[in-house]
Amino acid sequence: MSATIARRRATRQAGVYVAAAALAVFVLGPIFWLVTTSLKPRSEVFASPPKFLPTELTFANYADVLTPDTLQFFANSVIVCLGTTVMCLAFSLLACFTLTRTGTRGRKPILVGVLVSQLLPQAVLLVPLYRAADTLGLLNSRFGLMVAFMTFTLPVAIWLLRGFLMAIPLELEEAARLDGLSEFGAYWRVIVPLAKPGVAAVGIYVFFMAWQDFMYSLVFLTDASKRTLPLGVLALIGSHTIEWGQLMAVSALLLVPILLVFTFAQRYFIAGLTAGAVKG
Amino acid sequence: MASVSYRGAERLYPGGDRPAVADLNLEVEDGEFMVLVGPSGCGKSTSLRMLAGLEEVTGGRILIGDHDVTDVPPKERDIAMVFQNYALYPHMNVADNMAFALKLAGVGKEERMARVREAAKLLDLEPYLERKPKALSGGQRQRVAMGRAIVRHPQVFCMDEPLSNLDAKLRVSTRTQIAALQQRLGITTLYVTHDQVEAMTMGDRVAVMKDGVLQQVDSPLRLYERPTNVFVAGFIGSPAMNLLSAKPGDGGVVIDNHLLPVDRATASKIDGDVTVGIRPEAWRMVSESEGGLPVRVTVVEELGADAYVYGQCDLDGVPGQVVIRAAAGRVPHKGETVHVTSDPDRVHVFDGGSGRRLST
Ligand SMILES: Nc1ncnc2c1ncn2[C@@H]1O[C@H](COP(=O)(O)OP(=O)(O)OP(=O)(O)O)[C@@H](O)[C@H]1O
Ligand SMILES: [Mg+2]
Repeated sequence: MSATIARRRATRQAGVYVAAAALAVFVLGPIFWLVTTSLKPRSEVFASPPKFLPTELTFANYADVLTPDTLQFFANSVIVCLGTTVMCLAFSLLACFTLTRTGTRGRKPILVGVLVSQLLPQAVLLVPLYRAADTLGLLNSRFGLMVAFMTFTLPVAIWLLRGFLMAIPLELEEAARLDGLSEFGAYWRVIVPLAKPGVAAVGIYVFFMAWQDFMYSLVFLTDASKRTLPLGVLALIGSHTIEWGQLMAVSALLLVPILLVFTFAQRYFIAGLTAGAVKG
Repeated sequence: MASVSYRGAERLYPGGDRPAVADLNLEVEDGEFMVLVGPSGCGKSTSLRMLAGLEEVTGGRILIGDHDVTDVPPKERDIAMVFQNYALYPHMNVADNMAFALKLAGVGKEERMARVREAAKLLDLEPYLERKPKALSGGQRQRVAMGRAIVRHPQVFCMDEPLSNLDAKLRVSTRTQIAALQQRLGITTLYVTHDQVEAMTMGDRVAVMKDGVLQQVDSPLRLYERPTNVFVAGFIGSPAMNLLSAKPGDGGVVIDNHLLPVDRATASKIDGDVTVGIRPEAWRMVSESEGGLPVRVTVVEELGADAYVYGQCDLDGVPGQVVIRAAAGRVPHKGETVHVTSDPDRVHVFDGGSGRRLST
């Protein structure tokens, strides 16, 4: 009897491991390929049969791409994405005050509107946004790009934040108001600090939505000195040759901040994403 | 310190067809412990929250002292509230939780710490000042919530079922502590509970509500002895008062052919069917020949000094439930039939239609 149960449990566990392994191959495989390719000499990139591990490690690709230009692109990316994150958090926190904590009329339609705007494919908004930015003189400026990024990050941020903020008991806000804070004061000094893991999670999410953008950067930025890193990748795709090793090296650089942030903030991120589920 | 008055206060929720609190008139004296009690959904919390400024007042006025606070924001009302779930700030330790309001009010650090320490001493919280709320037991959290209220020296305390998350034993001991504390501080207090025992033991006066309407405000004893209508009669007291329908009779009321005498003044007011209320301890057991109401005993609850006897009687063909308190040594057995009657001054008579009290 217990032997069957034990065997069944072992079978189930084996199944879980197989599934996890398959998932890992699927998710990590491309990243593995990217990193190894970036470390291969050019001769091995197209070797047949393919070499999964480079026989000879080289950092030549990195040395080739780490030019002042690339560093400038990298800095541009960081500036634009941080700027987007800060502005996006500020606006979404303000929006969520009205949307979660006050009895403002018309909250439902606003929320639905925000959701719908987020459902539109980004490409659809590109032309109107371009024209608007042109009129406002925001083309070819990092600030303009931040504003453009907000068109798709802000709706997501509002919806995610709203969930985190709504999970915080209303009584805490009421207690704060009786303790001497205004409605907004209670929100800003008690509710938002309590939602910190959620705010951090949303901030990280927004940062990476902006980080991986290619299309808006391509359309909005013309000046080479303002380009973001994903556009730097484009420069390596020539009309005749593609420098795969270098391409992969730049891509690996794009991954660095992601890995850094997740290593240091993953506990925050996971706490944030599960905060709504557990009540303290 | 201040009195509180509700003057025809009303709260109609948007989209509601009937106010959650209707035309509430209630005067709470300076330093008084007033308990709001009633069944779930009767509008107790709403009334309290209207006073605190957390709920909009859609009609009438609310005054603290002679200051009309109806349109004053909560932070300017000088009210401290203890919530049912305590609403402690999870990111602050106990001392900061208690000091938060003082800090916002611009009280200096020295004075703040002194007041927090004083309150902590009063509430046995001294060892926990550095802890976060999540590292406290339910009873300790409850005391922190109390502490947060008392450090402020507010004009009014509002408490919304502050004991309902405690276990039964702790609830009883905390109940006396709160009452003693309130008396010592002399701060006007409104206390909401759905537990009538809590209401009776804690309140200087008790306000009984039902369906958003205030039924009666009186001292606990007066509520028990002179309930103003059938609802209050049935709500206050445990086990509940026996409420039996009866017809007018000669010098009394008739319950299923058995005459129960009432005093003359009351008898003269009876016209038509009535509801008769008799407390379990107001029954007198008599012999069959004396003509009491026959009751077949179904359950006996022995309490040692006395016992509650639950039984069934026949009310013109309809079975009725009766509870009798019997003194030790005179407790009937299950299955036995006893005969009970009562005395004119212990019988409450209510109008059969409106439920209003007719007894004087
Ligand atoms: N936000 C709201 N919107 C609409 N109706 C409400 C709202 N809050 C409360 N009510 C209604 O108002 C009435 C009174 O509610 P209230 O919370 O004051 O009851 P209560 O006496 O405190 O009950 P309990 O003992 O269960 O806490 C209830 O019928 C309730 O359904
Ligand atoms: Mg309530």
